[in-house]
Amino acid sequence: MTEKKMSFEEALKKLETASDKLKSEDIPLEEAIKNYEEGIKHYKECSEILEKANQKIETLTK
Amino acid sequence: MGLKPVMVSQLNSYIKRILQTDPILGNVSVIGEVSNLKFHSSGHVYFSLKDESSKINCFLAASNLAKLTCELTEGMEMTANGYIYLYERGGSYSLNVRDVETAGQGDLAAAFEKLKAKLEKEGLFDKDHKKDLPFFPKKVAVITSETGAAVRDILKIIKQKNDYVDILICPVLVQGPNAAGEISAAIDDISENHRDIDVIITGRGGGSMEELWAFNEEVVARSIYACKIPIISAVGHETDFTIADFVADLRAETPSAAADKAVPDTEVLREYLADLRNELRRNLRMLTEDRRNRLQILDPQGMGRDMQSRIVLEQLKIDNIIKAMEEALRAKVLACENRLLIQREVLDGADPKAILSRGYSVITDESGKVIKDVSLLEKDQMINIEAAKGRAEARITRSGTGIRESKGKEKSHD
Repeated sequence: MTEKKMSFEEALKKLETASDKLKSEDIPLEEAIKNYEEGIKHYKECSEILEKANQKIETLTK
Repeated sequence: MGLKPVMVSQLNSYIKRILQTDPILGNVSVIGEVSNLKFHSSGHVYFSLKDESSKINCFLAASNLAKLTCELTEGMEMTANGYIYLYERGGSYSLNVRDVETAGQGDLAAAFEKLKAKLEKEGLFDKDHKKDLPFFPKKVAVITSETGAAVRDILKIIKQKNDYVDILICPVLVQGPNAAGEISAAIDDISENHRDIDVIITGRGGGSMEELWAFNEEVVARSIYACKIPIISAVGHETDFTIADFVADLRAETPSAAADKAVPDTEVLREYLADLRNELRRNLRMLTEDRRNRLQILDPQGMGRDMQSRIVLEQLKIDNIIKAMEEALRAKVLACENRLLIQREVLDGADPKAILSRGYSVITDESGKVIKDVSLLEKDQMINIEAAKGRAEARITRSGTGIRESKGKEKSHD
């Protein structure tokens, strides 16, 4: 696995973290906006991966 | 010497009669290893039994096959009971099998337990060594027979669930003497040369213990253990347990179950992502609305109103204090006036003029000194008399003790 781009799982985890943080009521507004923007960024990363779904099935030849 | 030449068919017919009338060949049990196993479309089975140096063709009729209690597999050791039969047209003979006993059945179970105990002791089944399956694999390798039910089931389930993951099918034999070697080599190959694979499924559909045996071979167990990529084993049915199941990072009950465990549902993931995004939006909106409401409560006009009423309140407080002070001052003044009046009355009472007004007089000598003892006055001494009204000068005509009256203008009092 190359690390140049975040994996789907990592991006999803960050999205979940951002979403959780935004649920707490006493989060400062500036931080909330930052969290929101980050969450949306990770959402886009995940979505882009899924949008590129192009399943290939191949058979290994010996 | 000798008979006259005979036809081929006559000879074969003669041999057939000899063979089939022989008491031993009519009911014989033969021990050997199965090879060249062929299941004919007619339902009959053709195979060879062999030992190290020899082999014999065997035929098992479909009707007898149905009665067998064990499955026939390539390479299995067995005892076949039957009779020798000559196929006249080909001039070949074969063992016409009535029944089969697999001496190996008990041996296989023993071999299984022995290998299981050995590998367990070596730590090949340790939980600590087991790798977690990736949450979102990009590519799955399936090591199984290309034509079996397993690959069909696996592809079906994966395609239903996940439209993202790529699948690499690695065709191997899954039964027979070469199966274990091929499975093991395929695992080694994927582990070493296909690092883009995120998870491996290896297995096959259901079958007899002999048919599943490749997955009980040590070489397969070693490859699974050494494999750098997580492996799911999927051999046979729920009730089948193989050595591969114990070594694998995860055991799936069936090939379908393995496919299900290997990949996430991409539709569910898409919905989940959309939910998360909506939640983000909703929560931020709620948060900003909350802050806006709080801000509205704190607006300058409201604060001005609050300030105004506060001022009024404070003014009232001050007014009350002033009023109380004035009241206290007034009371104080009144009290002082009263005291002054009393003192005045006292003073008034003490004024000598007031005494004179009651008829008394004051006598002073020429220097103005008040005479308190008239006996000390001398004859012809001048004195002053002061009454409530007016003053007069008088001359003493007589003085001394015993004199009750004095002459002149001096007024006497009783």
